[in-house]
Amino acid sequence: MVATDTLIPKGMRGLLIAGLAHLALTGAAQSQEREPAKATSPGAKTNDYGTPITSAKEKVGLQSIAFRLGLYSKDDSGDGTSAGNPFLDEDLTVIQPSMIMDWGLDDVSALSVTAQYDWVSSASIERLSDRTTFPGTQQSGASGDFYVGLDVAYRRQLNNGMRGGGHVGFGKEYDYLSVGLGGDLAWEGPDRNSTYSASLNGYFDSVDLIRFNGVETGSDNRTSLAGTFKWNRVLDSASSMQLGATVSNQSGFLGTPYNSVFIDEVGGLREVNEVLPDSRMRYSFYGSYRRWIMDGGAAEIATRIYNDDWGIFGLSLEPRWYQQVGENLLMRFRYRYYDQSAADSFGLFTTEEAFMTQDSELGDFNSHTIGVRIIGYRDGLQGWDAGLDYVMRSDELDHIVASAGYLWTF
Amino acid sequence: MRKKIALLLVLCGAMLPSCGTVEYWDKGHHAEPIMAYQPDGTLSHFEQKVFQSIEGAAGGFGASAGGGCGCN
Repeated sequence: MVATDTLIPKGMRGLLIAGLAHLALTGAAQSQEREPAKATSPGAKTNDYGTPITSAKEKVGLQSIAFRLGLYSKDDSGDGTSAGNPFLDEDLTVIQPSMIMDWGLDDVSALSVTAQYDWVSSASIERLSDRTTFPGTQQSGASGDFYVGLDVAYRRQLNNGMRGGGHVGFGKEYDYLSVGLGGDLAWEGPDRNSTYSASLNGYFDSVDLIRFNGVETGSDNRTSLAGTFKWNRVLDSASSMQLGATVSNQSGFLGTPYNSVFIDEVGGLREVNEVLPDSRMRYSFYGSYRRWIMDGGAAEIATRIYNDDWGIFGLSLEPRWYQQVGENLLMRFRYRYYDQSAADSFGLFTTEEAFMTQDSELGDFNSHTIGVRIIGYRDGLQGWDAGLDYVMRSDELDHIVASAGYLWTF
Repeated sequence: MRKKIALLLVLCGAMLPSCGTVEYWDKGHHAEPIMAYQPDGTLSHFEQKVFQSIEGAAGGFGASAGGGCGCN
């Protein structure tokens, strides 16, 4: 694989992303005023502008409870150290039940509650109590055996075509506590063919620094602030697009407390704490285009360009195919290619340096994901789904991602 | 990789030229489930969290690009 950072100079990456964002904004300005649309297809519920309703969030007054059971598993094949980071066993399994409840308070406002629990089984947990079984390996992967998160959001219709909202939430794992809050504003374009949204979010985390060797070195803070702009647009009778851009800034302790780095010295390997910069600027630009191709069949292409000041440049390209396979059943097939360059601080080390990491997710790799999902509808609304994705990485750290969900609308 | 970047830019450009108004009577295809963008909120929540945790990149489509978890 050719490293991405050798092909696009660092100075050009920001320009590229800024240029694409400019195209999105100038395109948005071309909207023209027209009459609102009505529902157009028997059997499919649409909002006032002809857009299908598939979530209660789309219409105040429509209530729903959504359940999902998700699983993802990372396989550090063979002896547990051959894939990804050669010094660490990175096996990991996460089982994640979650729930989102949308509750219409009145004709113009709604409340949404998101609850999530993660059950984590990882090489790190198994080896903490018995490191003699796997000599030469250390903990990695997950930071604990559970995660619990709760978020409450309020959304209100402000005037015709505009709505705003805010949310507050928290997340807790055994070594950190996170408090998050944010707000967003969404509005329809005057020609009823565009929807815009802007959001600001902040996360304020407290991290207990429990190191790879069990030594606790106090706690530290992490602040993450992000602004996102999205634009959805009906392009013509058979195609639509989405564009989005996110700029975020993180500061404070940005490493993973239990991550370690192996230094290959004359006397042998020496294990020390991972050290990463205490600030990070991240830029990402997302775009997708979907087109109705034939009765019961639509194609989509999605892409994302990502860059940060740690030296990571990421690019994804994802074609999808949507196929109606029955009156109330459709299937989504997708392939996803992803390529990223390594962070500047990633590598193999012979001496201690100011910033050092051997975290596989900050390394140089590409991946191919293939996935299929089946989605069932009831009365024109999404009712249930189940899907499976397999991620093949160039560093052989393959993943399985699976989930099934049920959406009850009332 | 240069070809991939060029292809990407062409695809992005192809999204932009058709920005004229589409009347409601021309939106029939958009009401079909195969053209619906908004998935079940729990699905987008799950997929964004998974791919954010296994890749260095994040954000762009509503994800907050960091924060709220013990990972980086």
